[in-house]
Amino acid sequence: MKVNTAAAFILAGVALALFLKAGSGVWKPTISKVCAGLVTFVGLLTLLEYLLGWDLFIDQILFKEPAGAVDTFSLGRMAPNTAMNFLLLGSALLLLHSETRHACSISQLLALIVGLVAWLPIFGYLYQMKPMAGFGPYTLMAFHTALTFVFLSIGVFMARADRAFASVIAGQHWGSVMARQVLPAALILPPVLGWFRLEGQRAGWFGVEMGLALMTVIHCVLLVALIFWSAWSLNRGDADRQRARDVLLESEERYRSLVEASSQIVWTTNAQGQVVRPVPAWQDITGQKDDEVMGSGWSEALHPEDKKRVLDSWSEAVKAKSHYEVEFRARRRDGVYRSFQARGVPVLTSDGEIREWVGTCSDITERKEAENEIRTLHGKLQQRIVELGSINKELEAFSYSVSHDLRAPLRSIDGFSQALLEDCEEKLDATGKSHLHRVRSATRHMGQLIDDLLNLARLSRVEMGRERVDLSALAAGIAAELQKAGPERPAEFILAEGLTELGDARLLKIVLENLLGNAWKFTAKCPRARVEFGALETAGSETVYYVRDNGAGFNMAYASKLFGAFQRLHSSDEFPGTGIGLATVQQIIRRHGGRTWAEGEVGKGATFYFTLGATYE
Amino acid sequence: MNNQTILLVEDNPDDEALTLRALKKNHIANEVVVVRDGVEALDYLFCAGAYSARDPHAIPQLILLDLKLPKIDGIEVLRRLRADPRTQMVPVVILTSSREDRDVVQSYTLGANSYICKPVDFNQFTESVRTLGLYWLVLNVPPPSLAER
Repeated sequence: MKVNTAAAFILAGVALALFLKAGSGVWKPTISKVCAGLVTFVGLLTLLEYLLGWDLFIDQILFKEPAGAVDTFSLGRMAPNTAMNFLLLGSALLLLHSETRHACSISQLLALIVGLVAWLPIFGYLYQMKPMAGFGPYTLMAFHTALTFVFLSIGVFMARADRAFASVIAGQHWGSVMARQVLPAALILPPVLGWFRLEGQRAGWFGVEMGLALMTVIHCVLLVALIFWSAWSLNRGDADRQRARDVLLESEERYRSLVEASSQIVWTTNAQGQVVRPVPAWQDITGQKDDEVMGSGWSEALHPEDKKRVLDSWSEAVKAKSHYEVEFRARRRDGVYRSFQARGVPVLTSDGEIREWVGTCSDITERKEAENEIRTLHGKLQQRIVELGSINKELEAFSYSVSHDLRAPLRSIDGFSQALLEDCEEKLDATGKSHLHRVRSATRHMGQLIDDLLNLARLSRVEMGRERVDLSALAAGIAAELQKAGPERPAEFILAEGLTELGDARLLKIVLENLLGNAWKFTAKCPRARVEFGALETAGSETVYYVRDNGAGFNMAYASKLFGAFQRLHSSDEFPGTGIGLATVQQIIRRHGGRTWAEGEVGKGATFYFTLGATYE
Repeated sequence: MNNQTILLVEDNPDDEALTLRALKKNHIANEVVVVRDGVEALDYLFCAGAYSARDPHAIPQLILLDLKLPKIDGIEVLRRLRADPRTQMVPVVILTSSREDRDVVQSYTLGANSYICKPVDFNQFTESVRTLGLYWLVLNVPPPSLAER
């Protein structure tokens, strides 16, 4: 090749390399463009020399060519087709830098032309037909020049492999993959066949017509084979794709149906938070049409007081790319405002950018109403508690004054009756004394009644504790005390072991004291008293406790009166007592959420039952 | 030297009569001074008002204090007499009909020595007074008077 050719090739190579390696700097593209420009210039000038017959003294500018060089028209001057190729190549390289619409396509086209122009000489050399490498008397394009042109043209063609024609070859889709597989065959097989024909003809194996016919037939066969192979390959790929699409469609159908089946409103917006697809469930409720709901139009259905707040939190969420949750009222198509809760989450692409927003909107009117109701009821409850608190305080004050003020006159009555008995002994006869005794006994009784009543009242005010109480232990303690108080009485206590319950320890002690105390009292006249405490086997979940004695018993006809305050079924002479014991027991058991009842038979004994509820105040 | 006076603070005339009767029955011979309300009690103790002529050093040996009193009630009397060094150490027995926890706690907090509930039964009451007198007037060592300290 000529010197200028070599130099131009170097410049073109540099230009291409710098274009491909271009980073953010500005000097690489600049130098690349300068080089490309020089290449173009050289080509242009040389062409002009040929076309216009001028000598522009550029041919021997670098080195002088020795005379007698082979295949040369003018000393040092490159072949005309070489020059034209440089002109086109340089332009293609320059156009690579351009971003305008068709620059890339033109650049790639030019590169193709360069390649084609150089293709011919290659054939010429291959088929030993030199004249193909040039025209007329002019210098021929050298073989290595043509080869270099081909390489460069491929390089420039693929320089922007993502655009224009090159993308068809270089792409990811099936077509490109197929092209890459088929192209070598398309470029190599025909020349090889041609070479066979030429050589065959030269060797005399067959004549022109025969050679032509053979080549044509083989060409047809090759083309058809290629077509079959492409079709088969594409079919397979397409079948795979179709299958994948079907699976995806199924999944999409499923989720679409799911969304439709759920009564929730499901909405989507684009990455900027604008509604772009209609929301049928929402539109159904609010009566908005498709175009009314787009963008931010959906917010028109919101309550005017909530609208700004909702739009603000929505834009906040979109900006912050965070979870969105808000409650608001919206107008239904019949004009009634319902409460809704909307929630949204962003959908991210594989690079972490937001592709769209998806969310739901639920009607929470019932829930809000329930919440309001609860709040109101709670308020009322608080009021009641306060009221009850003050009532309790009043009761306390009442019993306080009772304990003072009612007792004092009683003391006077009793005291002065005694004084009367002592001081006026001689003046009183037996009747008088007996009257005074009765007076005194009545006052004492009244004092006892007052104490019992106060105790009963106090019980209802007391705060109930809740702990595991060992009833058996309590019963045992009480039994021991009773026995100690009356050691002369032979009594048998049969107490069940291991009975525990949840309740207030103090109050349950009072219950057992009363029941066991009663049993003790009413067996006083029994020769062999027997008192039992235990639990019944019941089918249900609650345990029934009982205290049984074999004492005086009672008539079942009066069973309903047993637990009334101050109700007695015996006179005080027979058995002492104010009749408040069982009322107290019932009060305590009731507070535990349980029940009391009794069975008895006159002269045989009585059994008192009680249960303790699982839950109590 | 303490005189052996017992100060009885009681507004109810019946209770007063019965208490005095009980004391007499038990042969408790100390002089008993009766005051009818809180103001009188404090006047007596600090020699003010109607009792200005009293000897301030003559502090009673025992004070029987009822809680429900007109004008100034027993609790307030207790508080004031415990606040004054002259009467700080005098044995005070609360003799009242109330059994309320509140009263018991308050009395002890303010420095009462003992708390007795007046029973309705007069015999029991007499018995209580006997025990009371025996304990506080005979058994118990009285605190020295201010002059002696």
